[in-house]
Amino acid sequence: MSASVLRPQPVAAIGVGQTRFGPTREAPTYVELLHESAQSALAAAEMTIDDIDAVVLALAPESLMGVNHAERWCVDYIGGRLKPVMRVQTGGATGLSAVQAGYHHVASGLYDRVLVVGADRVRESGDAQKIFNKIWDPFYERDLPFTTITMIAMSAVRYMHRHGLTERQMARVSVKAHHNGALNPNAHIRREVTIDEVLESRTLAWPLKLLDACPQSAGGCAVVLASADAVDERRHVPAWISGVAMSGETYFIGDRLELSERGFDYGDAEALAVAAERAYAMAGITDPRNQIDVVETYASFTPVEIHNAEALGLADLGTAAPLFEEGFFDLDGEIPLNPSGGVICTNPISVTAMVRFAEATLQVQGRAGAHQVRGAQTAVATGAGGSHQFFNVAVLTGERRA
Amino acid sequence: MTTVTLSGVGAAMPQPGDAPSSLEWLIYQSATAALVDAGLTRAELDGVVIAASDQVDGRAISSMLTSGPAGAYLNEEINVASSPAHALVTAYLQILSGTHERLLVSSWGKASETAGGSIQAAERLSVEPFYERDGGLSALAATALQASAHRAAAPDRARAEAAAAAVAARNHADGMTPADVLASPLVAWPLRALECPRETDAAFSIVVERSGRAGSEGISLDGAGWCTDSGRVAERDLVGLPHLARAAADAYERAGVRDAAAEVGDWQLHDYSPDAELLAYAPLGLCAPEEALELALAGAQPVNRGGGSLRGEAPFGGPLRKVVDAVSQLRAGAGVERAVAQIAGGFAGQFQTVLVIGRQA
Repeated sequence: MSASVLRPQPVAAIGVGQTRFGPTREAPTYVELLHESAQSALAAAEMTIDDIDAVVLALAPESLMGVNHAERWCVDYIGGRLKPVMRVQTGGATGLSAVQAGYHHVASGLYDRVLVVGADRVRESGDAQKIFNKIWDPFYERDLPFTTITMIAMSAVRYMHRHGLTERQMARVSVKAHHNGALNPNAHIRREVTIDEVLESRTLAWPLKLLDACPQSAGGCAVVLASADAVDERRHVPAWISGVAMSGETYFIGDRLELSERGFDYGDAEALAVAAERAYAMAGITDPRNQIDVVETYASFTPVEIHNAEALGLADLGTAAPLFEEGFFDLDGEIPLNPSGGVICTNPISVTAMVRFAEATLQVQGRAGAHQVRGAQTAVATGAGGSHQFFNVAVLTGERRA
Repeated sequence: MTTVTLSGVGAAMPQPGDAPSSLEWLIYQSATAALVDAGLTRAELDGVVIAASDQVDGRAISSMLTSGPAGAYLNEEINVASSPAHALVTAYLQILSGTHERLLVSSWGKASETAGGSIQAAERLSVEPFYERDGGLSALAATALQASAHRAAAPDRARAEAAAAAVAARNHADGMTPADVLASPLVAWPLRALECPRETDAAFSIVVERSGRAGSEGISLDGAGWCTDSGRVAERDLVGLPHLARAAADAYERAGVRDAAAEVGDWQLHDYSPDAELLAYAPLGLCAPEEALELALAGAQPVNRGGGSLRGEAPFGGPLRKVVDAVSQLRAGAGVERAVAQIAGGFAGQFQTVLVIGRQA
């Protein structure tokens, strides 16, 4: 991102809404989940839809639920009639990309209150993997065969080869995630697991096992973003968006296998590091290990959380796994990672990344309940989508920096 | 106040007889053409904003593939999937925010990839699934419903049909006459074949910048407004278009336009049917509602000069051509200082965007 003379108008998250997440949520339809999420966020922001200037919808591949361009259908259920509405779609990163679009609505100075909302019913299509099997390049890579599971398995194997990661270290990440998820009333999976349970769970694609992996969740999430004037009007508790950025990788995994100039390869998450550098620069973060209190990172499998910690500057390349074992990233550790239980416990794809942002907001607001990190004032949320290809990062702070 | 410039435009529009192009190649061609037009390289961009439609591209998460040829590798990328116009206004918002200085906006549609009417079939799968999908609504059917409502509401139906035929003939821009239009077969009552766009392949890219770079000046995006109406076609005012009026009001306020009819010298308007164009005149401030038919029959208004969507329109991303055409008209001079580009999407223009584009002094 270019050095800027013009400064963005300050933007804060002031209200967060989440539904309870679960495997199917049989009763609510997709649009009912949207409505429930939006109403919940508006209530948290002490607003009604009439207070909202514009709406951004987070909707990942509509093929997951079988309604093409479903933003057309959704408008009436998110309060978008006769308002500016747009829809964002960046795969798994969608939720945070939508927040980013909402941020720019307010940061531009054109809008004061923006609702960002989304939902998903991932099992609506039966098995999401059948959809995701079709996201690959049909000529060169689809036949390998890639799925969203095997692509990460291959990344994990590469990381194991390079940095000595063990399956037991991966299992430790899962134990932490499930412990935290059990404290989160909205989480899809709320039960503790042991390292042995993880290691003995069914292999999906070696080295990934069932308890190393995210579920397929239904549910919704929404946030209300506001300008400084709107924050002051009602004395909200703001979580200021002090930095936000995204970076895309090449689509072709075969083009990511060699070491980059930064020393990253397919075992790592280089584009996440690029996005983090940009977001940190905006937020004035020069020493992530000492300036960040809590992180909600999009890690759909345990080895992803390990390489994400490194890409975010919380550990040197290849050194994060032992830190997980030592408890450095536990809820009571030095830098709690995914205190909500993270994606390992809840994965409603269109809003998985927005939930990261929502949970980071709650941490800064001091409203995270049983999984609150004491004194959290600087939180980082990340998203990831595509073929581990699109990454975004947001920095939320209790103090206004922009 | 920051000035947002449109410093480069690029189009890839294969013609009949051209060698087949892949979707990626079309996108790459338009993106590189826009960068060349702006005098920039990809490395000088600090972000790419695309509008990709999974339904039209025939892929889940189309942006995985398509963001690359638009130049997004290891750069900022966002896919605003509701409309190509929304991609452009996202870039506008990013520039106004001060977080970005130089962005490429790109969108496309490749009808030949899904030949045989399958785009209309895919459109039918975007209808509300519980109550309305079985009604068989498609983009064409919704456009025809709007045209029907327009002609039914007109004081003189015959004049409305004549005005629509005149608009259609003009927007084909190939010497066609209104009589030719009226003689063409009905495809979705009351629309005739020559009142409906032929689906084509195209990709369009636009460089959006904060003013200040030498070489970037010339054309500015002075204001943008966008607004949405209900997803339930039956509940909308298909004739009055209140959401278009709101989008126009926002765009004009941001651009400082007080009297659009007097200040705007070129109008690039949505014409998925000629009735859609006629219905847009009043909400956009081009004329009073009762004057629209006369204005069209007189044929003197500077609307869709060079032709409209009826020349052929790529699905989903094709309407970005309105902006490319407005920039071309302004660059050509001829005393035009301001243009309005209107982009509509969804059934019968559910999503409306109005862009005020100016020539910098």
